Amino acid sequence: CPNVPLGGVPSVLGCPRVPVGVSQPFWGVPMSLWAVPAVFVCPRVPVGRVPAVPGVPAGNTALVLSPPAAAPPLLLLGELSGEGAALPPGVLNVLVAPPGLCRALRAHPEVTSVTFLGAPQEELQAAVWGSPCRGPRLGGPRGGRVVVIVLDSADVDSAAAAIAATAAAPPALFPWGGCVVLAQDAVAAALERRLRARLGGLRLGDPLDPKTEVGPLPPGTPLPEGVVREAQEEGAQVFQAPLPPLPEGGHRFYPPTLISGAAPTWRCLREPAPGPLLVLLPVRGPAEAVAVASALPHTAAAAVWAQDVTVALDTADRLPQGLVWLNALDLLDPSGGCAGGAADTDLDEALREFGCPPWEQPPKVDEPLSPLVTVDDPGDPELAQAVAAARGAAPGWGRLPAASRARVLRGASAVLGGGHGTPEDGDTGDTDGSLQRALLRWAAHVERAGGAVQEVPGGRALVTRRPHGVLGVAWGWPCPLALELLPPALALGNCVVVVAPPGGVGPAQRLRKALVAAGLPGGALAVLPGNSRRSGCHLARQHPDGLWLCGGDADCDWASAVSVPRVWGVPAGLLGAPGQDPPPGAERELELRCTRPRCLWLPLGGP
Amino acid sequence: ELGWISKVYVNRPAVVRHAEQIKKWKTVKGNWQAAWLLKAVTCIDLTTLSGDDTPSNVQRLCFKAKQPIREDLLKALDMHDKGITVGAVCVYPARVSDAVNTLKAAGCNIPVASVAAGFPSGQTPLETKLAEIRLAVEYGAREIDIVISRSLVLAGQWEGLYEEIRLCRAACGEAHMKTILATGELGSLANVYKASMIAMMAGSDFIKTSTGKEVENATFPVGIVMMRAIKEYYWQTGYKVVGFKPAGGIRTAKEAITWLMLVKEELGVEWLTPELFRLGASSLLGDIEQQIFYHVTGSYAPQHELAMA
Repeated sequence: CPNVPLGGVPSVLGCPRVPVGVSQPFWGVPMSLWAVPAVFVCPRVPVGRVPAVPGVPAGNTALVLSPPAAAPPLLLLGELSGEGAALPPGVLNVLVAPPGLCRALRAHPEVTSVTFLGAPQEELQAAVWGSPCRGPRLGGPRGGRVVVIVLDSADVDSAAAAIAATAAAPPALFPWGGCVVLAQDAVAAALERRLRARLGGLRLGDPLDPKTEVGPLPPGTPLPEGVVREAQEEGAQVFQAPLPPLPEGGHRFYPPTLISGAAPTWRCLREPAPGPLLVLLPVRGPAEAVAVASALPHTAAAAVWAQDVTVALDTADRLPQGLVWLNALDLLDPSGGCAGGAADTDLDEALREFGCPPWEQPPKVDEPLSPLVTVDDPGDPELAQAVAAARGAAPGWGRLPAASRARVLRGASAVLGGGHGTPEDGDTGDTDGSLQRALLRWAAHVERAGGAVQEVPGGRALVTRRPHGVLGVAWGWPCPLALELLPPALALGNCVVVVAPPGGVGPAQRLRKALVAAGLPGGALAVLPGNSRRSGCHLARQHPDGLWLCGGDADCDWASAVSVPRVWGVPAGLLGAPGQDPPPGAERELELRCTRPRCLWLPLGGP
Repeated sequence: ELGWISKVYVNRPAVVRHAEQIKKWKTVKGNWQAAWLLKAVTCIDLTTLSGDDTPSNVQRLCFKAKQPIREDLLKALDMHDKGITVGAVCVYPARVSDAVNTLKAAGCNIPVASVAAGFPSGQTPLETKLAEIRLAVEYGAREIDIVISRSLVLAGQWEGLYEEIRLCRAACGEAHMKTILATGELGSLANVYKASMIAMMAGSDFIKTSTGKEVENATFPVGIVMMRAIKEYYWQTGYKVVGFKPAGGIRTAKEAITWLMLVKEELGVEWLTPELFRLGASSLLGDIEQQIFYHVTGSYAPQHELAMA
């Protein structure tokens, strides 16, 4: 059934075997299959990406679990992969079952990694993954909506044409949820008029007919009737193109719909809905547009339409989405840097998930960090205060030029080396200078790293890495070198809240004093003493932008962490033994974990 | 209304991308193709604008205009009694009387269009432009294609441009006026949009892309921008429809059909009539006739089979 599209229903991927021999960084792995959808049946029908494909080139075996409605293309893929000895038997397995089987799959001892694809459905994720977080490595959901910001200096006609084309045939990477359009007041009426004209002219029809522009809804997805009706009741103007006589074949069609005058409290903005649905909101200016776009859930990419270069670049820079187009929509290319999606990963990061890095085995540590003393956890108010202070400091610290941040780290290194302050309660201090070296190393790194300019069809893409914001670090026993995770996190622009065990509080406070003396803003680093066994959960409940769990017993249950976009169980071997250099690839891994990618597409005009 | 053009922004890469998509549209086939081709024929302004035009070749052109497609081909399509002729015959002012006399003698009501106002460069004084227009109207031309002064556009003198076109419109009197924007020489798509709006505000009945003598004539990006201007003008005034004429560089039947499809998408079905859409072409008619011959007989005609224009 080639016209049954994917997307919109969850499927789960597990890797039952970790490949032997993939111990080096992954640049030798063929990347061709990751970025190109393996099943791209008909461009008129929104097709999701087949989940099994990414892990397989990295050497893993894959088990794809899918509900019956989305199964046929996957079964076809499984069949095709066996033909002609393309893949050895057992490498790609497709299982059609209800979602309840996910839990059993996850609990299976041989499954090492689980990825979730389809519509972002947090409840299902939480139910499936339960706790603890340190089970099989988790991948985030991919996919979401596109937010389009049209400012008053935009080419309104071109923007309307591009938006209508996207609503009709969403690209393979974002098959779910249509478009949210934020239009500045001055152009909102003109844009709406043009959108209505364009939506009225779209052709619905048989998905295999090359002339159709709008295909049917994926099977198994609900009609967005409820969303539209709710909008109508609340008083929005809803424009629906009339449905032409529809072809046979049991497809379900929904007419292209434009909802104008929506408010962020309505369902049509809170959740992505399937089908050709456009929601239009007026905003007063670029600043308000950025604020609204940052507050929308489940957005994967954004577009800024403005001919005024300064305003356009500034707005694009402030948006949180990982993939931002300038005066364009839906330009996608594997070489373009960012794969987009709610997980915001790019090529490097995505492939890294599927291989086994060389630091899984922790190095030998002679002395334990501290005797097993339990202390009280920091109370929720203290944590809340620390996280709020960090959040306040985050914009300032994150947007400082890299050179300033490097200067602060260098200053801190000098202060540490000078031996200010006295050691407290038995901490070993930084006698071997490894912390100093780490500070200097990361200061140098951050000065050099500026991002890349990638040539893409139609122009250039600026691929940069941006800090997450507020990172919560739950430091547990035994992980003596968690202190060395702080220089990269801070250097790359994050603000960190650390909950440290008794033996670690001293050195951490010393580092903090050194940094503050060198110029770090007060809230950017907070160190609180606590018991790591539960501190992970407490931290997660404060909704940081990322959560790192260092040490064997630092853990967090998924129910608390479901709102945290990135949870990372730091492998013990990542930093190497004390006094030794970190293993190869560790620096890159830390850089990838401390930042998220941002790809800004700049189409350049032809003659 | 200078306010209408002060906030015009056109994003060139986006328009070019949209135009690339258009080239990928699947074209119609079979009977529908023949029907669209006949529609295209009725919208053609059959043109001869060479230095060596004489009464004899203008006369040949007029007869071809009266019978653009061979009688037996039309009979095979059962369209021989629908009065299929081209939209107009377009010639230089000096040849207008020859054309008018030939068409009158042939008993045909096709209008004669004359180029005027210093065609093709427009670099002549305003008085001679207006005199040329009045003379062309006197000789019997029912449509006048005037040329604007590109220097006014490039200098941003919109009031001057408006005044010039308004005076030309007054000089045309009862004749219907097409304003040639010479888009290849205007520099940017935003200028094309603004010049289109000024031309429409000053009273043009049609706006035309180019003289056919520039390096770059009618291309899809330019056509898209002009059609968007026409639509916006219609929306702003509420009733005034202005026609569109791409001219120059349209040589194949496939391009003609793509232009028709583009007009249908950007402007709407109401614009697909000779009153609101024309194709300025000369060799296009030959290719269309070939395609219709192919549709009727199943093979292409050798050159001598189809009458030359």
